Amino acid sequence: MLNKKIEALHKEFLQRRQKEKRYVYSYQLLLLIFFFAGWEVAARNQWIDPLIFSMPSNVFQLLIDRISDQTLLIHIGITLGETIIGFLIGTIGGTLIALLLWWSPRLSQVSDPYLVVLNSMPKVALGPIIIVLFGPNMIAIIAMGALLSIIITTIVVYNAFHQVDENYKKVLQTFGATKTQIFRFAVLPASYPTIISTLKVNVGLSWVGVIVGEFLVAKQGLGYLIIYGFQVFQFQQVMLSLLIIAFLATIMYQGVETMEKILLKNR
Amino acid sequence: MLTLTDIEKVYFTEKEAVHAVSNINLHVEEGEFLSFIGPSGCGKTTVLSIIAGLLPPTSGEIRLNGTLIKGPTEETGYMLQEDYLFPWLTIQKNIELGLTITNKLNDKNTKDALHLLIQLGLGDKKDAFPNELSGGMRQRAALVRMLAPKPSLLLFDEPFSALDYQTKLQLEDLVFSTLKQQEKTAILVTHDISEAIAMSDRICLFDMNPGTIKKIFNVPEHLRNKLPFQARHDPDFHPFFQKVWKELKDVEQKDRGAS
Ligand SMILES: Nc1ncnc2c1ncn2[C@@H]1O[C@H](COP(=O)(O)OP(=O)(O)OP(=O)(O)O)[C@@H](O)[C@H]1O
Ligand SMILES: [Mg+2]
Repeated sequence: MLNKKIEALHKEFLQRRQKEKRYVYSYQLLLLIFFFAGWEVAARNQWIDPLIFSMPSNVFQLLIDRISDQTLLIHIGITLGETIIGFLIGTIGGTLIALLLWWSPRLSQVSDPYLVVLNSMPKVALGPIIIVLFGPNMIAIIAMGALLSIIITTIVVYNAFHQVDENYKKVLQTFGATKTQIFRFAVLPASYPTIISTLKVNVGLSWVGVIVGEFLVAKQGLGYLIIYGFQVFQFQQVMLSLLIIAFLATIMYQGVETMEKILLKNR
Repeated sequence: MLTLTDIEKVYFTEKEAVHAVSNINLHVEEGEFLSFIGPSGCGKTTVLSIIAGLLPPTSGEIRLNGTLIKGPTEETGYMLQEDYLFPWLTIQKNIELGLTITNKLNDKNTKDALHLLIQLGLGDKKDAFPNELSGGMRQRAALVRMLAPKPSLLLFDEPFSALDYQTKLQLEDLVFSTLKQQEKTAILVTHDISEAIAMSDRICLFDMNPGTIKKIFNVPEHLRNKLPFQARHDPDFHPFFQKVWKELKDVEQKDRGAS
């Protein structure tokens, strides 16, 4: 008897939850539609300057044109490739440097002030130096993407390595574990959550680095489309690129988040 | 089996040099169960870590079955106050980790470890993660992990102090009978005099500043072979408890007077 009542109440509870979720989704969708519709209407009626802000229908038309003349995909491919490579170098490189610092406490002490300086430095200011170093090409852009994330990754991951509970290491030491084994079985897995949380930050940082890099040197890519569109006063192109970047960056971020859920399932 | 000769340990910190333990001489027979008691900070953990090879003594030497101890060996198992099971591994994987590191991961050892897990009432938990277990269960799992590579000397640093009283009593019996059955030699650090008497053959009372062994008590013969829970209810238990208690109080009073 009681069980039935509880079951009914539970069902009701779930239905209410479902309903609430549907409300949230519909409002989110509504907001999106409202935004684009408002933009379109405001531009058509000259409430905002269509030359500067363009309008969704034009942006969409441009998207279709650029897809059919096959130029857009190349730009997207280049920027996406640069971002992913920069992201990987920044993340993996930062983690490897952190490992090195963990391995040698002396090295970590020596490099500490330099890391602090490099970390506080606004790295995009190094853009010109990087271009001089690597030449005005894709490598410089990737280097910008990686540079932005590598230092902060090093610092955050090294701190995570450092803060692993001594007692976990002690447990392994009592079995006679080597330093490599201690790293592999205790320090690294204990730091997974931190490493993965840096991934999410690094996605954003790599996009910043790559877009800035493309502003400075590129002949192709979404950053180039933005800066070129700006120079020739083609704001449709700027808007289109921005929307594409927002879309791609979100996808990448979501991908990392899904990965995080899978990797940290059992914590 | 285990011999400590003239062990000294000085810790160096930025502020000072701490003379933690001094002049420790001790011989432990095969199959013996020893307890260390004494005031907080008297160097019990330090001596245990030195025996485990985790900490080099400043001077003196330790021999285990005749060989000089220079670092951790697979002959020694060490259990901490908390279980420190790795939260990202299942109970079985946790247990196998010790075997992996000591290069003893084979079918027989894994089977023996799982058998012990079943004996300790955790047979159905081997695929569970540590956070799904109670404190007592986790400590039992940690015990299996320590025993899996089959060490002959076991070191316990207050293994029951984080548990509630009933779980502690149950675990004492379980650890006691498991060790007796496998004929292990063991040293237990504890704050609890009753626990020391109930479980051990001999009790080393530590003095402080620097830490030394002030006195070694022999637990009455017929208490030694009883399960801890039964020993606690033996008529001889209380008089002996009083005797140890008085000595420990003397030591603590002297320390308070000194500081
Ligand atoms: N790593 C260290 N560096 C400096 N001093 C230390 C260190 N470890 C322990 N000591 C000092 O050595 C002395 C003995 O410490 P130890 O941990 O061995 O005591 P203990 O008997 O285990 O105490 P408790 O019962 O509180 O666990 C203490 O005075 C402590 O402050
Ligand atoms: Mg201690």
